[in-house]
Amino acid sequence: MMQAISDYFARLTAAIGQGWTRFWFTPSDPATLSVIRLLTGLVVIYLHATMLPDLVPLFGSGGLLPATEIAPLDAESFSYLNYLSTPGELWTIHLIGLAVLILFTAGFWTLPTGVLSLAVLLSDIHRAPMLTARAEPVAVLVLFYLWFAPCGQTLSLQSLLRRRRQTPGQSAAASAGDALSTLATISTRLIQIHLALLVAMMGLSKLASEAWWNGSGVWWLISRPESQLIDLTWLSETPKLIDAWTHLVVLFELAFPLLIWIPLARPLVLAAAALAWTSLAILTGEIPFALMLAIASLAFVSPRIVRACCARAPATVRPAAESLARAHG
Amino acid sequence: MPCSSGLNSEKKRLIKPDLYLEVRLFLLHDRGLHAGGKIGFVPMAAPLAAAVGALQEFKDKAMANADPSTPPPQWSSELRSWVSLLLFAHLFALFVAVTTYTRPSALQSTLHGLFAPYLRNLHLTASGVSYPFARYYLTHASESDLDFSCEVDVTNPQGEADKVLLPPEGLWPPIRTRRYQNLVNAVGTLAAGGEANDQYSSVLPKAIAGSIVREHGAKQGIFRCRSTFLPDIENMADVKAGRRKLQENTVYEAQVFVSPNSVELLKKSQRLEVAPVEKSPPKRPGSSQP
Repeated sequence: MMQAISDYFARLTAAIGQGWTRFWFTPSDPATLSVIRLLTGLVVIYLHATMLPDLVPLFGSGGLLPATEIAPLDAESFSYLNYLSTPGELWTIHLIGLAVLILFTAGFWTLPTGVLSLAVLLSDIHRAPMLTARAEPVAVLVLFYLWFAPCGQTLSLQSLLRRRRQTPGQSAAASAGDALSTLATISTRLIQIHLALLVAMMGLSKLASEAWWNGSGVWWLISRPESQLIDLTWLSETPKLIDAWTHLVVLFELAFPLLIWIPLARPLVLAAAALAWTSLAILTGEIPFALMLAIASLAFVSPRIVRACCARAPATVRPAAESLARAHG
Repeated sequence: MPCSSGLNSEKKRLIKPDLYLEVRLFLLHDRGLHAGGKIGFVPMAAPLAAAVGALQEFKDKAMANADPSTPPPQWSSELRSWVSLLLFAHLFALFVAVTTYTRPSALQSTLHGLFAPYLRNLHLTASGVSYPFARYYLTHASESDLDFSCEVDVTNPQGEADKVLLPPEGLWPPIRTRRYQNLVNAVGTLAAGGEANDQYSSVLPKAIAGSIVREHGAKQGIFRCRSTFLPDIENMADVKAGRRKLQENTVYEAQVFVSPNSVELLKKSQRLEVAPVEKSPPKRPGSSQP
């Protein structure tokens, strides 16, 4: 009997260990991460650049939010913007931050520019978290997992320059050689797990309110005059539609973290996610939030599909995509 | 064993970029890159070393039964053990952050406090801050799940009265307006928290009003934060037809006194009738309003 129990636990630990190793350490193609880098970079550039006109009115000396006065609300988090107050300092550092974000988005030296991009975004957030909403935390999580991954291998100016320096034969060999990466797997898995946890949190936290049980949750969103993207208050004439929308939002957010891991269900779940994130944009008016959720969801898209899409891309991208596709058989 | 030696340039060229990163990440000696070579680590705490040893043993056993069709991992077993340890710690911190988002237990709060410096500095948690800056639940139909507005009444030295509204109108792109709306909503949310939020509710009004009053060259002014009732679903038709007006409520009002070195607030109303979306259980759309 003891031997049987011992054997069982030996088999169990072996299976768990094997699964863990396969899940985290099987090298994979970073093509999807390159797309995520590009799209996340664009959203973060938008978030950062649109702060420029309000930098001095908000953070300058005599601005609405002096660092020392709002410190009691969030004094523990670091931001380099806390130490700047003159217009010259603020503009200079903000433009340097913008340049870093552009370099990262373009795929230049993604290790240092990724770390710096994360620092830029975190500083923007921590300087005045009351200005931010839901998009920024999602952007942070994606950037946090991208910087250490080889996300600049494709769809980047760096790869373009590398290819120009190489002969066609060298280019194909180099592309095939550096295609698979363990860090790409770890980065992808972390984005997947974090997104699943985030969506689970969104769903579970809704259950704490009766509004999401009785079908009125969506109504309280679309009736907020300042937040709505488009006026949907005419839906008050069809309350059952609002009920259904409310229940579908909760159902999706509870189902996504479970069903997304089933390969056969994944395409359907991703299609439903596209609808769900679009509906969130309509309900809350937060387009960057919906965009970031959609971009993070790309982590569940196979690199093969990304490669196939790249193969249909303009001529500058195609050679590398084709050589990598050949490398993957 | 302290690790200070770097990779020489020849080896840098020979190894793959991610392997090079891996070396930099964990401060390994360059000899660790040779197949079967030993890897040197910086001095580590004994318990950590024991944990890694156990993990490695666990993984070695696992790999003994590995599926031959699985592509072989690129990393050494020891490195995988270290990374596994980091992944486990990070995922545990994330799990704590997610599960403490609403109604945390004392244990969850304690655990969250343990990871707070890590989670907060990386903005990976929405818990344990002074106000809900990111409401992932979108709405709980509570008295703070509203859009607020703020105004500052100020009279300049020439005796001209002015009213400054937040969020300002006509900003482009729209995300700028949304940022000011977030700011004003934070003011309203903190004010709507009542006495429990007393230490925080005046922080933003003081900063905002002080700045505006000073900008106008005045010495005092009045700061107000208002919320607007949300219409019930069954009353929407009346609201649209103009038969019913949406009620506004002042959630925070204070007189502002500005001196060269300080800003003082004299709160007029600690918490006037906060516009409730619902007072007690939310009504179901279609139900009659009391």
